[in-house]
This record gives sequence, C-alpha cells and structure tokens, in this order.
Amino acid sequence: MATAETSNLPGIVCVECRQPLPAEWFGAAEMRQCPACATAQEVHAFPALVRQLATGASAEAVMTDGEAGCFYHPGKRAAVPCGVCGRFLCALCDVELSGAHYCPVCLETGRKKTRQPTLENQRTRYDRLALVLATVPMLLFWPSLLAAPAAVYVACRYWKSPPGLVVRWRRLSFVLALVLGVAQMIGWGFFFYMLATGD
Amino acid sequence: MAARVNGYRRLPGRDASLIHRSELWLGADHLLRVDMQGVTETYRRFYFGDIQAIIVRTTRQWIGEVIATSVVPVPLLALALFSVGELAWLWYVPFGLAVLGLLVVLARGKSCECYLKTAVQMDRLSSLKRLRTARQFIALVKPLIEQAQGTLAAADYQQRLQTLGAPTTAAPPVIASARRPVPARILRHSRGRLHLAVCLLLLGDAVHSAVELVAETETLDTIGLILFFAMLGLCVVTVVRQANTDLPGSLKRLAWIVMVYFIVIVLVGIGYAITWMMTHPGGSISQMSEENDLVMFALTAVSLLCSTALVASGLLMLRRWWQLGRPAPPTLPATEAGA
Repeated sequence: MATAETSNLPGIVCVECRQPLPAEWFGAAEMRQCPACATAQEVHAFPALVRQLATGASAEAVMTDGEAGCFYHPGKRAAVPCGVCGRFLCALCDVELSGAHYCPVCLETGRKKTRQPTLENQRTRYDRLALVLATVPMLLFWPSLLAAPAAVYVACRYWKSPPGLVVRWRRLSFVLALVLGVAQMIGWGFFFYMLATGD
Repeated sequence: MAARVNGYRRLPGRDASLIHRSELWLGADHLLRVDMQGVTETYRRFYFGDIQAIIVRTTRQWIGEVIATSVVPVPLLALALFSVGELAWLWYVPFGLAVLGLLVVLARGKSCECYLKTAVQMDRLSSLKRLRTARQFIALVKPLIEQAQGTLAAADYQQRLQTLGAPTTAAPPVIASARRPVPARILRHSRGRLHLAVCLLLLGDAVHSAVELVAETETLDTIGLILFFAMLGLCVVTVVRQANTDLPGSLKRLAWIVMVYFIVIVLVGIGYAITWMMTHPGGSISQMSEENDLVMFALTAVSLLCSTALVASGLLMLRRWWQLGRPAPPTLPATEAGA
C-alpha cells in the first residue's frame, strides 16, 4: 500500500484542479474521483510517462588532420552526410527523421516546400474555398455574380495544389465548383442578354 | 474496417460546426489530429512512442442536455393537448422534434473531455465528446501505443516515478486546448446571497402565479412583468458572478436551470400567443387570461409548480451550504521556537 506522499508524485495532474493524481491510478484504467476536486476521470498511462528523457548528442572535436569536419561547424567531427544536399554534419547538426538524416537548412526547405509530409502542419484547402465560393453566394443570389467567376478562377488556378492530407476524393470539390460556377456564369449571361434584348 | 486515405484511417468522434471541424486519424506510427478552420487545415501528430497518457474526464454537460431536452416537450405537449382550432395539430410537430432531440441526447450517452499527454503538452481532443466514443478510441489506440512502448504495472509506475523524482514533472503542464485553456483556479468564497435573492424572487413569482389563478387585475400583470425582468436580470448576474467561486456545483446548476426555465417560459408564451392570435382572428391579446383560457390556466399552474419546486430545492441547497460553513484557512505548523 502506497503512502499518501509516494502515491501523490506529480506524474499526471487532474485536468480540473491540476493537483497531482495518485500514481496507483496509472495501471488500472477505470473511472475514479480526483482526491482534491472529486472530478471523475480515467487515466490510461503508458511507459513513456516514466521514461528518462534522452539527452542530446554532443559534437566531438576534430582530432586529426585527415578527419572530415562538419560543414556548419568546421571544428567538429562529421558524423553523417545530409540525405538531401550531401553536406557533412556533426552530431549537433544532424536531424534524424523517420530514419533519414537532414541538415537544418534542408529540413526547413523541405518543410516550406512541403517535400516532407511528416513536417507539414498546415494546408489551405483551395478545393473547399472554390466550393464555398460556388455555393454559399448562390443562396443569396446577387453575390454569385462576382463569386461564380471567382470560384472558377480558384478551381483552375489551384487545380494542381495538394488537397488536404486526409481527403478521399482529391478533385471532386474542384469539379463541383467548376460545374456550379460555369452554370451560374451562363445563367447570369442569359439574364443580362434577356435584360439587353428586353424580352 | 474503415477505408484508408493516404495511409490514414478515420477514428471515431468528430467535433463539427459551420466553420470548424476536428477529427482524429490513425497513421502507421502516429495519431493525426486534423483541425479545419474555414479553409485552413492544421495538423498535429502524436507519435505512439511519445504518448504518456490518455485522460478521460466525465462532464455534466450531458445532464444539462437531458434536463433541457426533457423540460421542453412538456409545455409543448400541454399546448398540443389544450389548443383548439384548425392549427392546433401544429403543436405536435415541435413536440415530436423535442422528443426526438431527447432520444438523440439519451442515445449519445454521457459526455466527456479527453486529453492526451506527451512530455511537452497536454492536448484536449475536442472530437471525443462522448464517453462511448472516447472508449472506442482508446480501445483502438491503446494496443498500438502498448506495441510501441510496452506495458507497465501500477506498482512499476509508482517505483519509477519515485526514482525519477518530482523536479522533472513538478511543474504542471500547460493544457494546450484549442477552445478553453484551463488556468490555475483560485476559488473565492461565496455565501450564495445572489442565489438566495433568486430564490426569494422565485418565491414572489410563485405567490404571484397563485394569486393570478384566482384574480386578474392590471396591477398583478405589472407586478408579474417587473418580477419577471428582475429575476431574469438577477439570474444573468448570478450565473456570471458564480464562476470561480467555491459554491457547490448543485447551486451553480440551479442558477442555470432557473435561467433556462425563464427562457422556456418566454418561448412557450410567445408561441402560444401567436397560436391564439391565429385561432382568434380579431381578438385582443388582453383577452388571454387565466379566467377565460384553459391553456393559460394550465400554463400558470405549471409555472407555479416549477417555481415552487425550484425555490424549495434552492433553499435546501443553500441551507446545506451554510451549515457547512466557510472552510478554515490552513494554519502554519507550530515551530519549536514558537511553541
């Protein structure tokens, strides 16, 4: 039986009152009341909670003349080459990601140009924008005069842009936006033609 | 087995509104949280090897939903049963919808909040709002996390936390919630005077309703109107002021219930007045009185019962709260020198 002191080690705190939850909760995943605020909660803990955090590698200095040095820190011994640009990297500059080694510059370039999907944290959904432009203003009638061409423009301009990371039908929204946008433009054209001819 | 998209499989739960959507997807070695705001999608990855804990906390939102959805059909049914005229059947439509709403709330089950803890953050998974969904999610994800990290017994956690020592985890992690960050809360003491005032006004309303059942004067109508607005205003003030106080949850909920009760009364009153005007063309709204109209009589009687029940429960809760008294402030341990 754990004492109050040992059982209240601050591994996980209560989400309501932020008091440390008893450690004996962590193994048994069942609904229990927080000893401080009586909020019912269920904790599913995993070994990462008690894992010692790994300390970062430190770069070693170049000891002999023949040894390759880091491109960014010439005085430090090269450990691996960058998987993209081939520059030698010391242990400090080496960034390992999914088994591949990158230098910080290539990593940043890859993130900006979305070459590294695992680093991507934001995308603009132009397909959705085109669909919104093609549908919502249509409900208000008059705004569709401007929004329909805008929807067609967005659909054509960003046709090849990457869709969302978890989108099932890549171009469906673009196709729908194009069809609706073109149909509205034809409708408006017909309307102005009728207005001009006075029929 | 759900279809995979780009190597991801959709997990149960979704938090969606008109311009916002939040979903969870299961990747080969990580969980992907997709938040869509307008036309921008934001991605957050939680690798199985990094997840320290999943915490599920039940909330009382479900109780509120059940109360709200079960209160609404009652006056609607009364209106449907007592209404006369060709359009009387129309009241069954909102009644049916209200019952449907109640059934949906009951079917969805208890509400909850789900948090995912890693070494650097505690993130609220807003797509997991129901306990059943959260448990489905855990049943799917837990084996994968355990496959990546292995398993530990409760005793091992205690032992290892002791060896790690408090300093590494002493600072409470900041909860990075998209909607509501949970700050450190300092609760101020409240005697519940505002709640008492609400109860007293409700008592006044109950007396007023009782008198209105037997007598009908313009003065009574004016008093009723003043009482109504005073209570509504006081309820809003009480609901705002009770936040961050040490008042028990039951008293806090009571203020909300009273406010919802007033809103329901107003909606039902407006609805009935519209029906009455439609079924009595040429009639004046001043003719709607408890003496002439059976529905008005029934509504006033229901209002009297509700007010009395709320006053009784409110006063009982306040009495219990006052009996508990103010918690004594912690005292410093006596030192040897001082002793």
